[in-house]
Amino acid sequence: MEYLKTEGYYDLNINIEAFNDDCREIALKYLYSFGYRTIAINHSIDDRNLETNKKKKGRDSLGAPDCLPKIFDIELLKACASKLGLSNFTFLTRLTIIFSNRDNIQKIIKSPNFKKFDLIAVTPVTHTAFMFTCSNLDADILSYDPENKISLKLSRKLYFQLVDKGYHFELLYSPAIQDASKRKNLIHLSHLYHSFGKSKNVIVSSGAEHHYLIRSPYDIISLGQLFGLNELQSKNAVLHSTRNVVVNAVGRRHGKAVMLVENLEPEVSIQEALCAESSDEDMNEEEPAQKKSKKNAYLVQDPYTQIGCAHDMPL
Amino acid sequence: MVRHKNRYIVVQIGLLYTKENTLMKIPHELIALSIKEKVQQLHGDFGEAAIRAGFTAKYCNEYTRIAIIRVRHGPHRLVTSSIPFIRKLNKIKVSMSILYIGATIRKCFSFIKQYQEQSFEKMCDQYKTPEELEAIRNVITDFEKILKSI
Repeated sequence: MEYLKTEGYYDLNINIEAFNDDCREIALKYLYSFGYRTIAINHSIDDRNLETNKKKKGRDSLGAPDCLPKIFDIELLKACASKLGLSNFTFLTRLTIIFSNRDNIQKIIKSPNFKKFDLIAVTPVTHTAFMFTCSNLDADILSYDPENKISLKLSRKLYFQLVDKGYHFELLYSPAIQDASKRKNLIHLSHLYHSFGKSKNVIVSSGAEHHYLIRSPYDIISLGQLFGLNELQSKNAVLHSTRNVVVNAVGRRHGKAVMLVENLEPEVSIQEALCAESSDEDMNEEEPAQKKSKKNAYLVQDPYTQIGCAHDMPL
Repeated sequence: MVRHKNRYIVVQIGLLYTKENTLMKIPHELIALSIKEKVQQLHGDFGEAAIRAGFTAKYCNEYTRIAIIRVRHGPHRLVTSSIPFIRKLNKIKVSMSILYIGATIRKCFSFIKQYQEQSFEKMCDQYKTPEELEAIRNVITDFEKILKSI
């Protein structure tokens, strides 16, 4: 539940390579000094490579092999952060699935490691894969491949279909720093988002492989000018929308309605509090951002608990 | 219903160092490519990426050397600002001039029709026989197919 109380700024895509043993401390310090408080460590998986792996492993062992990479140990980072005295730093894990075929995606979803990831991003490569994403695939982020030209046929209808499903559209700025063609692809895509959906639900993250490719969130806000975002939108792209991604992801993992029960009066003894909790579902709605959960949530007056409101949440 | 606004730019490709009425075959892609290069030169990566969506160029007519370019509304300013700087199409020295910028293909159609008829009358004095005239007229006014393909 700690993920409901994350703080900004957010960078929801930093590759694992940036946190190798030799540069972990520097990277963390670097991120913290810029004002990032929530970061997601990215693992990407390509379903084209998956095929070959599957065959090899299939011969070796009969048990279903886990096709997903091993999750990066967040505790390592947490320990490192506390050693450096960086408080309020949240770490998430994220999986980016690059896929072209809907059969492979089923294998990935069924694998036991899949549920351990906090955020799921998808990068459909072909049009059929994209249609499949729009119709029935639950994930948080729609990412893109910065190296190739955008081959997806977006439309206004599909864009809003994705928005309704809770998707956010990701733009990666650090590949764009490196290379001209990646830069063009980024700008092209961001303009497409602008023209199809008024840049709704757009988030900007780094996608960095080294810490020196990460830029300050304030710089990114001014970078939004290039992507057809206005000032508010580009601020939201690193702050509000990204927070929604994290909250939605908790919702996706636990079913739609997420509630947080919290005792705000410290005097109440533990026993009484337990009674109050178990007697009925006296729960507090703790999620102003999600409409769906609002519908499901109900508030019951209770002497021991207070209603948690929007101002209890950070941001 | 929200739609994309397009802009259709009608340009004339003027040839330097050649006679007025020489036939010039220019592939469609060449025009698009040279415009893109020029936009890259003047507006950088941003400009090139911005005009990428829905950008096509078609060469319309060999006799009057008219081409028509489609761009999205908004980035069309980047294109129109860089068209005057085009000096070469694949080593051939040219000068491009914008004749008309329209919002619909229909408007462009009526403009080109008018323009072609005017230029046909200018050409008339070269060709004497009525058969020749008729042939030329057909060639000049035959641009509907190309407009439809845009």
